[in-house]
Amino acid sequence: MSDQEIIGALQQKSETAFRTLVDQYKDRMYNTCLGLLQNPEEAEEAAQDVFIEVYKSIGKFRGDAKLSTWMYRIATTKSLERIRKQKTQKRFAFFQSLTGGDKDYETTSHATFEHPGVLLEHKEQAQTLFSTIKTLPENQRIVFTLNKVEGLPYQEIAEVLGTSVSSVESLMFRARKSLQQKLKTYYEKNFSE
Amino acid sequence: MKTEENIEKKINQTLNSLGGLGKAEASPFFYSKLEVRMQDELTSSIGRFAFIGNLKMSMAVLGLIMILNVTSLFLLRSSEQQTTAESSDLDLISQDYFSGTDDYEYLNSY
Repeated sequence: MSDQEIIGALQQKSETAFRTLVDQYKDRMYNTCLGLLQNPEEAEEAAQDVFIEVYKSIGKFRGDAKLSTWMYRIATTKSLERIRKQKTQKRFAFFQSLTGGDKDYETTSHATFEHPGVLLEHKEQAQTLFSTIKTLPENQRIVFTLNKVEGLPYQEIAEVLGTSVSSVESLMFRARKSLQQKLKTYYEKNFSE
Repeated sequence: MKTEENIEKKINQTLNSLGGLGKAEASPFFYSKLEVRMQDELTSSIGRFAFIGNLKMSMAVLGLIMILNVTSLFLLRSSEQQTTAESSDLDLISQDYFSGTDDYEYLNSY
């Protein structure tokens, strides 16, 4: 089924169309959410959120963007909502840890993430990179992840975010600079000959 | 100097470590889990608000609310009329005892 056919059938609440949509897009949505959230369980739930949202909102989809662009936009939004919720919970856990409440704060805040698609010889550096990506400002994090993890070109990222290609280029440049700086600090502290 | 060069090399290696990155795949049970979740969400919202979804029940509830409103209005108007009647009696009494005139000639007839 083409995207147009899927959209038309979904608007008629066709289960077959919904199943086709999920089959065609589930890996892309999961990979995107995984790159942003760096947690397989959270990523699976966020990917489910995407399809639930598509099901609920397909009537409002005007077709002025590609279906994939719209879905990436939903995936980014849903992932960001979870990231912000995690930050709020971390702040709460931090205050709890000060009072001797939450002993798990220290272990979970520095948990490393292994993306299943990383080549074996790059495993350790990729873990360090993903940890560092988490510290980027939101917009830089999104752009870097969509490009490097999901492989979206700048044009498509611009359409997903509703911005210009030059803004995306600028955000990528700043993301690389930030990452270089943070990695330099990290390796100066940890790398000794 | 060598340490700095090594650090630069490490940084570049790290920044390029996502080269050739394969795509992660969703679980083979993804659709089943999604289906269960959507059923749960739909059932829970239907369960809580099922009576609203039922048209006959909705009309009955609306009718009941209208009856209650009309009854309240009726009771309110009744109590206003009673208050008006009471105040008429009070007016008569106040006229008798607290008349604005200074005419006390009628006392001379006693």
